Amino acid sequence: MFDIKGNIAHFRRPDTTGTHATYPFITRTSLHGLIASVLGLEQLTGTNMIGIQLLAPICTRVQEMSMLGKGWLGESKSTFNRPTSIELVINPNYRIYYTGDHLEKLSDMLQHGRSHYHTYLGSAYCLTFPRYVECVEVETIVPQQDCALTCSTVVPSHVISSLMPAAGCQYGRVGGMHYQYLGERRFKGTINLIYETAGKTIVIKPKVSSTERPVTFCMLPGKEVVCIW
Amino acid sequence: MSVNSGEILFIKSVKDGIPNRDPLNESDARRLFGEEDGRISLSDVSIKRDVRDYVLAKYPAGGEQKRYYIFCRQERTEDGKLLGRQKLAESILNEVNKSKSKSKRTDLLAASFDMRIFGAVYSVDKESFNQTGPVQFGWAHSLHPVETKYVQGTVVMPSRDIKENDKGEQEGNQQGTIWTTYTLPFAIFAMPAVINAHIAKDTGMDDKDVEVLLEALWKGTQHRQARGRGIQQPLLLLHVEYKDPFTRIGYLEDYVTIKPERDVWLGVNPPTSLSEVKLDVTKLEQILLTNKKKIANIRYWLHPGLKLIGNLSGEACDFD
Repeated sequence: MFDIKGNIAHFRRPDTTGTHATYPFITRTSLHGLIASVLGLEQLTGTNMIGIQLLAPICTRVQEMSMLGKGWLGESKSTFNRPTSIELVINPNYRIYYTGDHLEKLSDMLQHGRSHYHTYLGSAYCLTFPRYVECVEVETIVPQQDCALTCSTVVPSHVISSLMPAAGCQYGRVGGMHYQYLGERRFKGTINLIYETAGKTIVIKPKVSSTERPVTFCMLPGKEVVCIW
Repeated sequence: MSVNSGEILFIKSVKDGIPNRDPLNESDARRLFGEEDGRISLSDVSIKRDVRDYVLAKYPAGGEQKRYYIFCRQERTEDGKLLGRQKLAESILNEVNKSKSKSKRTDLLAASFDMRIFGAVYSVDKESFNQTGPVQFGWAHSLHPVETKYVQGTVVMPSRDIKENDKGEQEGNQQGTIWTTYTLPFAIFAMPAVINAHIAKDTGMDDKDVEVLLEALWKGTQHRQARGRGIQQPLLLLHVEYKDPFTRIGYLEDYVTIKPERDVWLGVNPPTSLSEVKLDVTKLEQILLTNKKKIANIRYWLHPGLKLIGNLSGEACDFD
């Protein structure tokens, strides 16, 4: 387990061009990239499962930036800057759960505050420095159909049979988040996620997931349930 | 010589102006954290502009070694049209006799200070490359809440010129144009940055580049004066170098605080000059001491008017 936080974050939605909208929290591919940066890898290889817990409420703001124009001569002949609206996540703070092929080295690097490359929250100007929390043994939970499960992390929608709303909670859905980075700006597959906007637990009735995008529920020593995928 | 991984903490003040405005909010200050929090912000882009403009002014012809050109700049043709990125790149390559370059990436990195430091996304037809910069700036945020003021004034020149009517009489405005703007009396900002030794090797950034960067941060801020941007002063520039290329402490800006406290800044008489504030570096000193074994070198540049609570270890430096 490790924490990542910052003043701002920007996880660009790939379907936005003129305006750069953001996902509300770190994406699977950004997180894989951050872990690869710590390890000094071009790309995260092998088997990797991650869980994301929101430690702060989701809050975003839009800022208009002056980006450099793409083709001034012949197109926008007299303007140097290209106004671009960028949506930023404000005061992002996440707890990350990781298990996979790189567990040992990642754990060692984070415990000693080391990283091979820069680590940032989606964009290079959103600096972050992962803080090691701990490594724990977990108990894998076999979800029972129609049996309520309280989960501390965001949950892929394809393993939810039904969501059981609680008073005072506000729920969000992220659709079409890239699932796997193939390199050279190419991606494969998407995943949809359900979350509570202030980072509170969510109660779901699970359903059996497909093997294409495997999801595992784990119970931590403190009986907290996290979802990794 | 090669570059050590390290971190930078840069603190600057601004008086009677806003260095980086928010076009979506009537050009008021950028307010990421909302009215309740009260802090205002400067983008990394605006601070990198200060660095670029200083280096461009100091080395207009790339310097003696022809390696301090600035790629991201505004350059026009004789008839006033702006050059695009391909022409800008070509103009640099021509200057260094690499007009028939076989690797624009290699040659541009060797000649362009900002590409070597901040990286570049170069996409022109089939000649594309993407290089992460070894130096990354975060946004700068004020260390205290800031209340901006909406002010109005007039200029002596009317917006329209005098015209002659059918009777041969001159017609014109009776007064100049009215302007309105947001401004702030005084604010202090902190900005973090990181330097990565591994990426520095990829881009060819060397220790001389680090010195130019630090000088440009300090002097570029001093030289970037305009009525709207206010009077900017660099106050503290801290450069921490690590022994190990993988080490980082991180969040150095979180270890400094400003006195007086938040409620004074939100009161009726908030500080309006450097003499009314103190920078508390006690926690910063503590975290640097805690990590002493990992640190190869600490240098800092301090504005003589900035009063500190606590001490800074390391070498106190001056720019010539």
